[in-house]
Amino acid sequence: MGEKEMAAHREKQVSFLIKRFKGFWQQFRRSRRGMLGLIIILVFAVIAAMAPFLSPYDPLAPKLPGYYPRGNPPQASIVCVPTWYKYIPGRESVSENVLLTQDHEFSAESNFDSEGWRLSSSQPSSISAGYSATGGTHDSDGCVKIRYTRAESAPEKVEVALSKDFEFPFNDPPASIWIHVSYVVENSTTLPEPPVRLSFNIIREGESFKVMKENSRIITKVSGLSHNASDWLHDKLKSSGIYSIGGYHEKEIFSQAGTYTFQVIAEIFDDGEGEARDLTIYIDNLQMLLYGHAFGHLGTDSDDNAPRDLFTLLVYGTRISFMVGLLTAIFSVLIGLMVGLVAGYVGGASDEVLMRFADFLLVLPGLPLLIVLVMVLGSSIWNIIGVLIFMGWMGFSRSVRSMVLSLRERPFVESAKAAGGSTLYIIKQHVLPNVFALVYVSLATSVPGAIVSEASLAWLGLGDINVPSWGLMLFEFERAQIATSVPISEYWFWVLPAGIAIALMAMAFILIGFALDEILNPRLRQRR
Amino acid sequence: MGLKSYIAKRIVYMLILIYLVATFNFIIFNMMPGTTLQKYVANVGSKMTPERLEELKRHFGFDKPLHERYILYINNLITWNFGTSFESTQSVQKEIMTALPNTLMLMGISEIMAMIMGILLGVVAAYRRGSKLDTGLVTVSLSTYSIPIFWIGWLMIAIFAVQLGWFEAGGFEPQSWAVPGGRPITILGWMLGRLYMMTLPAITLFIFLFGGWVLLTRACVLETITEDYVTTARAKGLRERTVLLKHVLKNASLPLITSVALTIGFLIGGAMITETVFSYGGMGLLTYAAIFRTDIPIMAAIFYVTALLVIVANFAADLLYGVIDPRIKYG
Repeated sequence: MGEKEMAAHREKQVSFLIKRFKGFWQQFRRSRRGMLGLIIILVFAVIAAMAPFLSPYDPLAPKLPGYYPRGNPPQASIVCVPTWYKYIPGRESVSENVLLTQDHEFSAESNFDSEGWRLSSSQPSSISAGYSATGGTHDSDGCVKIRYTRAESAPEKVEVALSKDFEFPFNDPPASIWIHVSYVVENSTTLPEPPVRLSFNIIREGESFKVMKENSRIITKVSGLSHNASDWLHDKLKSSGIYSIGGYHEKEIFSQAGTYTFQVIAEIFDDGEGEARDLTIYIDNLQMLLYGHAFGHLGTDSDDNAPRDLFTLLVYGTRISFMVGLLTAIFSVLIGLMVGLVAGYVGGASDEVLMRFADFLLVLPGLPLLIVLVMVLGSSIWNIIGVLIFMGWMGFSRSVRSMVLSLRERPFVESAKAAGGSTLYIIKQHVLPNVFALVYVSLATSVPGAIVSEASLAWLGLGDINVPSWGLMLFEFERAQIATSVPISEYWFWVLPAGIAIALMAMAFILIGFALDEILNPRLRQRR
Repeated sequence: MGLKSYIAKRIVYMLILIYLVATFNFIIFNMMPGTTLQKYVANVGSKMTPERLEELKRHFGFDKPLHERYILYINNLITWNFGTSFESTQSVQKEIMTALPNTLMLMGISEIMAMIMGILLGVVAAYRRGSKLDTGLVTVSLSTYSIPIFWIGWLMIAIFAVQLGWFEAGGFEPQSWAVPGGRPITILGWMLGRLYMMTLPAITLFIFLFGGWVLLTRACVLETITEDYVTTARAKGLRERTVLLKHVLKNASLPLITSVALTIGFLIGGAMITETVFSYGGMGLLTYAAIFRTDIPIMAAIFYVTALLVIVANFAADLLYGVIDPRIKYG
């Protein structure tokens, strides 16, 4: 064949394929179930692709972004309800997260001003305080600088307050309070350093709550003439539930909605020794996070390290379920196809060996074996997929084999043989096309089993906890042990969406498989 | 080849198969991380003297080399002597005998119900193909088929046990029985109590199993209902019921028989997930506990007996084929 003829031949083939696909599509479109399944899958595919845009949080260990030398705090409190609970009668006052400042690193003076930070002191003549564009914990970023120079007489104690007003718009108290600060004190004279004490105040309508116990943070470690990075001290305070903060519980401090003031108080004790006194306090990475009882579109789970946003998990779980379902289906169908072809067409000893092996896997109890194998191999997502493939090909290989057995005896295969066609040629040209209807159907129908199995494994504690899956959501729920003690109205947003998502995705594939079966299996074709 | 030689050949195959299954089980069980002994040692920590360790090894049978243990293991399976559980130190037979009746009751009720209703409705769905009933049945079956069973169980517990308080959330005997004198004296009272505790898991299992039977029956019946002999039967003027039962269902029943056989085979394994969700003390829960505690004797017994039953059930189904379909020749 010349090149031109080849091209023409290929073109003809392609146009034939397109025509056949068009015909198939015409039929598929008529199947309402198949179209429903296809639409569901498309929606899931869009969700999977758009996951990072749909949710800004990390799906596995969501922490507050930014630089916190004492560790970034979790993004949310454990077992939060969805934020839209505030629209439910009786839950209007549910609290959400309140972040004190957007620029806790003091990276720009404009932020410092616009966020309403202010400085005041008990003896303005000896204090010069304000924003400083340099000297922060990061070399190039800013901080708050408070400089004390002794005036004519030693005042014994000077108080400087760095304050910021903030709104706490909820009548329910926060779940917990988290405060972070970095500070360093620079001593510019050679005298023994005077102690400086830092404390935090939260003020509500004139009532002040010292949330850092007095004398608990007296700073005596002071750097020399100029500080460097290692001189910084970092502190974090946390209250939650039974642990109070400075003797106060969240519900005492934030007993009502309103405007509050957050203060960092620096007390400088000058004993009057020496001729002069000159020291500088630097404050950086100052943040307070009030954890609400509501977070995200679907609340959070109960992981104590970093409670995950359930909506984020749900969105990212789509990817994992697709991956597990499709990979398992593709490879188990491929293996089943190969085994069935070889066993059916070649026959003889290879048939015996392959089919006995399939029998062997079929007689073992499925789920227990799956669990044991995953336990032996370790529960990474790839091992799980591998084991699911290993245990998923037998049924399909049997149906391929019986199909091939009957095809082998058909006249057209016999004629091909008589015409001198090789085994490979006959399989490729005459057997495979006839088996392919089975392949499509089986591809669609093996996905759901894999998805549900993965979820079941996760539920049993054998899922890959480093992967954000729907199974993980259900596993965390199982671990929280609340199903038998708490009414479902308190946690339905945790367990219902994941289960429904699994069921929907599984069903979508089954629906498609079902529709394909109706179209491709001529015996099932309805007479119209 | 006649029936006798076919049976002989099959029995040889079955023996080889069961031997391979047993060997495979031995290998994976011994590959499982953390045997009971290792866990025990880890708990006690470094205080364990070497003598004590040796004693424990002897106690659990880990002192012998692997090949000796293997021979012992195969020997035990043949003689049906499964040893004692690592965990409870009771004999495996006893453990299984306490769990098996519970499972047989639960699985029996729900499997039989699902089978009968599923097959009946499957036939109806196939017969009235394309009708609203068919569409509804298929959709319901497909959806129950694709929901994780533990999730259905949770919902059952959440709604009927926690929210409505109609049932107890778990166990196979009512809590009131645990009180001295709380056990019912009459058999009727005992049965009612057990049925009461079985309701939720049985419904869960039924929901899970029902869809499969409907779909399988429907598919099998659809395969045969388009056959020419069905048209012939109708043309002969046979009653529709006769056509359906004698001509369609009988011919459609071969895959169903295999499925029934497999169900019976896997019956004793219990429904692991359902039993775990409802803490129902049957074979499934026993398997679950044994796997997670690496209780090898119990696992070995359950895997072995399940495989054995499934193989025998399969064989029985194949023999039944010949009775139902005279066209089938063995060989």
